[in-house]
Amino acid sequence: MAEDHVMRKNFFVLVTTSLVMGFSTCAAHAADTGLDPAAPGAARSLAARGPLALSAAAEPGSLHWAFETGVPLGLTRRDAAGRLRPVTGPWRLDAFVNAVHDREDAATAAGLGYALRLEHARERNAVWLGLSRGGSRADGVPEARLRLGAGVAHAFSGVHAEVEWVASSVLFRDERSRTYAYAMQDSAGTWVPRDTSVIEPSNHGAFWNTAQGTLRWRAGRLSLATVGGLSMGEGVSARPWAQGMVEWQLTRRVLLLGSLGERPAPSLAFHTEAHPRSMIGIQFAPWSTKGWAMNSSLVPSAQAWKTQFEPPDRLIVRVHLRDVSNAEISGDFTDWKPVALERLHGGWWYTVLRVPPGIHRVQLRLDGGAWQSPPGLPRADDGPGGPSGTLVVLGAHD
Amino acid sequence: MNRALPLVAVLVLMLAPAARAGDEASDEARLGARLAPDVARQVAVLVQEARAAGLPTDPLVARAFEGASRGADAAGIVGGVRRQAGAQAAARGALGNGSQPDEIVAGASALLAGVPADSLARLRLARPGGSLVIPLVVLCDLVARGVPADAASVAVVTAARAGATDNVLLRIRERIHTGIENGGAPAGTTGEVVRQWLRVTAGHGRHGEGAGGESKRKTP
Repeated sequence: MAEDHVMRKNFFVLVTTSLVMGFSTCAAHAADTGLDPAAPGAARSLAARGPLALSAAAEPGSLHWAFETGVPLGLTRRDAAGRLRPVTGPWRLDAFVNAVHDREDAATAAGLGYALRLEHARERNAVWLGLSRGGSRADGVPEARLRLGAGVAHAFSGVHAEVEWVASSVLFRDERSRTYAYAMQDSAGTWVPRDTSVIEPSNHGAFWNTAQGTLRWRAGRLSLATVGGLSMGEGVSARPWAQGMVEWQLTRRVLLLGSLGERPAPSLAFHTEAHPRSMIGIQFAPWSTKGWAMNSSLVPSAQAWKTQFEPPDRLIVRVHLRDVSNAEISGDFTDWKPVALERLHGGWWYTVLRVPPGIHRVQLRLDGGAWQSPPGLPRADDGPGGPSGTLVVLGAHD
Repeated sequence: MNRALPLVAVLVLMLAPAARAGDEASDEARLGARLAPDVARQVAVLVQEARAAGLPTDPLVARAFEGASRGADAAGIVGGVRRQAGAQAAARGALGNGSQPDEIVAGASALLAGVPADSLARLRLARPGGSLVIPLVVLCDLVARGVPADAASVAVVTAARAGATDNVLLRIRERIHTGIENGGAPAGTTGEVVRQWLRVTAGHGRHGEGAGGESKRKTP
């Protein structure tokens, strides 16, 4: 009971600290991580996913949930535009705290785990090295004192392959019976041999190893993966296992996950989003970037355009955008200088401009891409910078 | 009051050249601030010529800035301004000397998009008393969406001649977009949407309704 209380207290302290540090560094980071979303492992990067992820999964009769927060420990500097840029190039160092609750240990508090992962990611290759401690464990599974993990990933055309190895130092907490033999003198003065058995705690450590391989194929918002491996170690027989996974990127922040098959605890130590058994679940990462989401599935787009003219020359522009980190507008009324749009809620962005009544040409740029005509406006294609929209300001709502 | 009129006229005559000189100085300062000196000088000459001809000059300055901001070279910037000035002159010629500046600008865009000049003249005849800004914007937009210039011209002139108001024209344009986005051939879709609107308005016995619900008829 006291142990549970201490664990809960530690958990909340760690979560609070991580969230504060995560928001201050990672959220600012999230706008532009500099990550190549196609790089293997980029989707797992904390810099891309943001400081917080919540996942829940269910199978008939039980629920599995996981909470993960983390801090990118890589150094950053501000560039001329005031954006944070990593100075460590392809190196990333992330620290994670996760809490996982599963039906197998439903009677206890959430299993608390800590992980540190150093990753070196290039365009098509990534290697990582990690340390992890704690985490959820099912009944009968020994406690992991420390796990050392390493992985190599490579992106082939459309397929990501990853090989990982996790070595676990596990602690068996069991009881041992000892028999003590002794002699006692009876009333006649004869020594009579006796013995007694005592049950006493006996902890002993062992090494377990898990080797696993993953093949992942992605197309648009869909990802299909298969992971298989072999777990072996002292005191247990080698056990092969396999799991198939399907993921659907619903939005930038929401990922739907399904799994079929089982995977052991060491295999989950560096993949908190993964499921231990056949389940259907959802992961929510509120501060994620496009780098976290599946490659090419989220294309920035302008959905709707609204203006409101306030005489004599004030024009309120609202644009509904999807999967956009930054947006700019330019037109003859800005002397074709880009003006940043401000983010509102619900995907709407806005700005207020000085635009006199008349006929104007206007363009939008999303996430630094090509200039384009705003949605719904009459288009003119005769400019040097691509299609522009024709904005007619009549002196009232247009 | 009557005694003051000659004085006002004299003041206007005295101040008009000063105002024009002020505009010129302002344009030159703006051009000099954004463009290389040589390019700014060439553009300023074109702007002065346009002003002398009574054509709108803001679109020329804007066209130069657009070229500069999109990375066009000096020849591209000056060429773009020259094309715009030429199109504006041609648009005014087609639409008539009494055309409003916005009509001239919209007409220039239509000409640059490939609309024949006689289509602009026919549009003026179809709507002699009203503004042609929206019809010309719609015409330009249809061409940008892939409707052949001739077919777009026929559609807009036909609708305008039948009394389509600006809002109706904008709704016709939206219907054409929808049809094209759903896989319709641009020319065929345009013709079909306009024919459908004509049938509906004829059925209602009132022009200007059907596509947009406006009941006010503009008689040519």
